[in-house]
Amino acid sequence: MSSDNPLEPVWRTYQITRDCLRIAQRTVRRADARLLRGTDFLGDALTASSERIQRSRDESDDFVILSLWVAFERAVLSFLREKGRGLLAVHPASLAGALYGKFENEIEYWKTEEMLDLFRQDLGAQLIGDAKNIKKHRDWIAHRNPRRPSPGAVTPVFAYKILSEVLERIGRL
Amino acid sequence: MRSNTKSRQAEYISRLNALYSDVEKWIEGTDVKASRGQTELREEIPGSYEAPTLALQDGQGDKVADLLPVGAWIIGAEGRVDLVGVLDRNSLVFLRQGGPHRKTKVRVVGSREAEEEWSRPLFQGVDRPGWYWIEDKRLGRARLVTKQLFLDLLAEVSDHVLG
Repeated sequence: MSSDNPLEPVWRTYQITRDCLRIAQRTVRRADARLLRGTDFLGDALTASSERIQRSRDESDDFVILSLWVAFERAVLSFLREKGRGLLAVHPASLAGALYGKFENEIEYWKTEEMLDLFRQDLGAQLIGDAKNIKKHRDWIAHRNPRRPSPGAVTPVFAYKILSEVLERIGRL
Repeated sequence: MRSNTKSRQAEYISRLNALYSDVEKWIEGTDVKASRGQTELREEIPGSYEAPTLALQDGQGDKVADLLPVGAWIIGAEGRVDLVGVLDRNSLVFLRQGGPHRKTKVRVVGSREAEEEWSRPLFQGVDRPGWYWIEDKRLGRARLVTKQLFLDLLAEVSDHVLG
């Protein structure tokens, strides 16, 4: 994946978080007081500490999907904004400014699903469908309602790959 | 429930059971013992259903790791089960041969404009249907779960040294 992928910083942070949690779990399980100095783990029951780290690990999978989506949405919006500048070339010039102004004012309120549909012809229905499903999963995480089942889980690595693929292809348009 | 929903769910459960049978064979002769259980899964499409789990414990009866099903309706895959150890977790996904492909139309601009449709796999290395682990540090590579890989993943999520 190219280094100008806007999702990469999010992905790297996730990898580091996971590694840090592994180290923390290992340290707690070995009850290494020297390394636990200055943390809330010192003096806590091993099982409770271990469970808290495990919960954080599980939640890091949810957080990375939320963060990937934010970075993805921002990148798509910025691409469309750039394309929208073409409206400034519309004739007559008096209409161009007004048209571009309206576009700029309203694009913030476009639904992501509708923005993704603009790329359906170029990127294919399957990729756009997968991206929309990630959005559904993201919404489920964000507004978690324990009575509502998951609309289709996604692993962080799949979310990263699929959203990166969308951005890479949009970048080539 | 629609018949294709029911068959996908049944297929998922059968694939889980096949994986667990492999794992039971792979840990033979080690100090790790396996025991099967059940858990309730709730997914939007099929609703609630029971799916099998596999608990792995050491000689003292302490948890090494659990194989916990996540669901059959997984974006990009046909099922997922997580290997959850005391230290970390890894996701295993069921992929068909070739894995997920992304089809796209490309406009070829030249003397004559035309559209070409091409498709490329999301992950390399999916040369047959099965349970795969996606290497997330070498993105883009899927590895079929074999005995050696499973034992490595087990050690990674648990720090357990097989006896």
